[in-house]
This record gives sequence, C-alpha cells and structure tokens, in this order.
Amino acid sequence: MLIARVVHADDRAAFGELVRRHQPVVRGFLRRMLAGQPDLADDIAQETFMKAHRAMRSFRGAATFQVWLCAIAANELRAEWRRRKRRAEFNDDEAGETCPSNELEPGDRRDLQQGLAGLPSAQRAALVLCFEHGLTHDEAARILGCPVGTLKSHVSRGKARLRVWLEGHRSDHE
Amino acid sequence: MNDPVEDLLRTDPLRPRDAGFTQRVLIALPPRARRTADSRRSFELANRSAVTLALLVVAQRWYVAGAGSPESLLALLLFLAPALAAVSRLCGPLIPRSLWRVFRPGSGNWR
Repeated sequence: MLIARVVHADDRAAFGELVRRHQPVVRGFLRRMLAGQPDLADDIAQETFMKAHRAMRSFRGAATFQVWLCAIAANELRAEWRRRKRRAEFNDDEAGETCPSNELEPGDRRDLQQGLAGLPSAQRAALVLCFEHGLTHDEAARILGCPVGTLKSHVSRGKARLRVWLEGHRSDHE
Repeated sequence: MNDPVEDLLRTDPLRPRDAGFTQRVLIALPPRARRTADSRRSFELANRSAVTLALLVVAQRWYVAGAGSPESLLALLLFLAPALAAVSRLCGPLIPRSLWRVFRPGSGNWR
C-alpha cells in the first residue's frame, strides 16, 4: 500500500514511513559492516534509500521490500569498497579490521561488536542478516548474491570463529 | 539447545532508528516532478488525435488502392472497427467525454 502510494503519486509521507520502518535493518546491517564508522554507514544508508526511491517502480515483489532494500545496501557497500580500492566483494578469507572499542558500550555488546568486526566480511554479513535481523538463509543469500549453500557455510564458519573469539576474550578478562 | 553466539546476536541487535535520519532522507530526495492535470489532459488528447489521424490516413490509402469497390469498403470497415476499439481502449475515448458532452443532444450548451 505504501509502495503503491510512492510509485503512483510520489507520496513523500508514505516514503517517509517506509524509511522509518526499514531504517533499523538497513542502518544496523551497514553499521556492522563498517564497524567504527557510523557516519559513513548512515551516508550509505541514505544513498540506499535514495536509490530505492528512484527504482521503486522496478520493485516487483519477488522478495520482500526489506530484502530488496538490503540488496541495494549491499551493492552500495561494494561500491564504497571499490572507491576505497578494497576487494569489492563479500569475502570469506580476509579478516575484518578491528574497530576502536567504545568504552560506553556494556561488556557483551562491546565484545560482540569487536568480535564481529574481526570476521571476514561475508561471515559477518551472514551472521548479522540471519540472526540479528532474523532473515532466512534464502533471503540473506539473495542479498549477498551467493548460493544458499555458500551462505550456510559462511554462517557456520562465522559462528565457530566468533565463539572462539568470545571465549578467548572472556578468559583474557578473567 | 540454543547456540550462545546466536543468542547474543538475537538478544542484542544493533537497530538504530531516529526521526532525524528519516528527515535527512526526505530532504535529500529530488523535487517532485510536477505534471499538472491540464498538461496530462493535453498530452492524452494529442496522442489520441495523432492515432486517429494515422488510422484515417491508412484507411483512405487502402480505400483508394482498392479502387472503391464494395468489397474493399467492407474490408476497411472490418479493419477499422476493431482498430478504433483497440485505440480507444489503450488511449482512452477517441473523443474526450468533455467534448462529447457539448455535442450531446439536449445539452444546449455550445460554449
């Protein structure tokens, strides 16, 4: 209904409601992927919504609107990596950059943030989409542009690696 | 048994939401393309006129080529009826309702 109002009447209030509803997933996903750079993540999130507004007519409903938006966000992220001359793909072999820890964050959240930031981008994206945002494997695979089997492999490797990291980090503190 | 990593991700999700971000996106959108009702109507009228004219030209050429025989006239009418119906369906009524009202008997309003 909101989408139809945006497409047929360019209803800005309806688009505002779509942004309000879907920004937690888009911004959350991008912030996890660009750990330690929330401003850059929000810039890319804004670009994602602007692209979505321009391309709204092409949304056919083959996937949910949320999945469609996240796929645009993932493309925007690849474009950002390309601008920074990084590997412009979600990869499974290159560890992420450690982010500066935020001392205001409570213990578990800080550990999770740092642990996720150390994972290769494909594993991090898979864990965030599947568990933090509750998407199915099929939906997450569609967003990341990989087969479902590969996505499942990212999930299980990411979980194992994060578990080891969290256990090691906790034992260091004790 | 639940996985502790899954639990941690599920119980402590990062989902930022604030009205400032929504406003920021709305402000950054390009200005709305304004297409008035009048310009839309004249666009539709021009389209319908062009299609009707093209059909009439084709029909006239066809009729002339067939030397005006009754068979040719019949074939022409058989072609024109569905063609006009299709155009009317795709582009709206060939004579706009507002114009049709003027010629309707009993309306008495020629202005």
